[in-house]
Amino acid sequence: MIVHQQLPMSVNLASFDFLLIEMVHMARRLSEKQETALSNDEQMERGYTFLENIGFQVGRKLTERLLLTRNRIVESIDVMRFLCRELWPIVFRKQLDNLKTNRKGTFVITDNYFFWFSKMTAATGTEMKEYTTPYLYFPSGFIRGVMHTFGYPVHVIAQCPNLPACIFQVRFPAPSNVSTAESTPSNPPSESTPSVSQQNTGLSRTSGRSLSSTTLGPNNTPSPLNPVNSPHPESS
Amino acid sequence: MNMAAYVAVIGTKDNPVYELEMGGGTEKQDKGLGAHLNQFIVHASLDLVEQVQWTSNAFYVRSIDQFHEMYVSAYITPSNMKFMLLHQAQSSDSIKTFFQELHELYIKTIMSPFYQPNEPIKSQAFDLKVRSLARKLL
Repeated sequence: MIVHQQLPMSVNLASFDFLLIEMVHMARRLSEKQETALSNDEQMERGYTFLENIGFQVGRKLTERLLLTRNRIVESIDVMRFLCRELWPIVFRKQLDNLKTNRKGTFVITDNYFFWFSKMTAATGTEMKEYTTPYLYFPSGFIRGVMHTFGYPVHVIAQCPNLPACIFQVRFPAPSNVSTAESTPSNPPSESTPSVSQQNTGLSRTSGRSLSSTTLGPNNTPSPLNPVNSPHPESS
Repeated sequence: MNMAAYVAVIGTKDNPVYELEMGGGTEKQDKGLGAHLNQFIVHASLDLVEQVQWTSNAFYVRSIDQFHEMYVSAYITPSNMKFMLLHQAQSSDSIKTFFQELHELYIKTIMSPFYQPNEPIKSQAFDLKVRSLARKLL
């Protein structure tokens, strides 16, 4: 069903580039049309949340398809491993450059030449941030969708310090918040990164279960892919 | 070889997403309870499915439960959708094939932009295909 082609696929790639560009414009147009009493910024945020949701759906469905041929993933480390080693080359056609974790529920994914942005240029540093942030919503929604298929309601924040390089912060919810909806405030960085408020749609039962079961497994090895769930042993 | 069977696709919150009954003639004894009994049995075996899913990383989890003469088999997808089948001791190869085909059909349903995973599947085309699959393989 899935063919991972090694051919150039230039028609696919070009159409996708155009589609992404047009989606951002469309989101902007849609948000301007709504005649509510929100301020301009809030309207833009709505438009961008729309983009993020599209990315979310795409991420979910794509992972479902890709997982058909592999065995089921039981451990939570394997989820990150799947994302970084298998999904990233298939979708973005290159390996991830760096994966860091702070062991407390946040992973930082760095890609030094983000494929979807390879054709973009911008003049100066500050302009760049302003112009590229809309385009970051779709990829962050995409990653959120991928994690959601496995049952992890994560929160993804994307930044783009230099144009082809992108950094995604993936934050897993703290265990005390597993059963309630959460929208964490945005993160440290001083740049104007938008944080997308995220609803906990479908929290599957496995997310609660996996938190408790992985503490029993051999997951406490100090590797960079150590799952976030292991420092949170549930008192069962 | 069409014995009685009951296929259910159960979502991540134990919500039924799709159900199909292929009845045999002899099931009419407990008329009042007939259809509901199938649902009870499958629901009760969901706990066992959850236990088993952490032990193996295969999709097809074989026969996990038994109720009198009916067996329950399960197939778990990576996104934690459970395909359950209630049947009467058939060859597990054809059941495995059935589940695999069902999985592919399910993925095709998900690809539709109008369908969100975990919602009930109301498409008639899906229903027809599952019926013909069941007739062919079960």
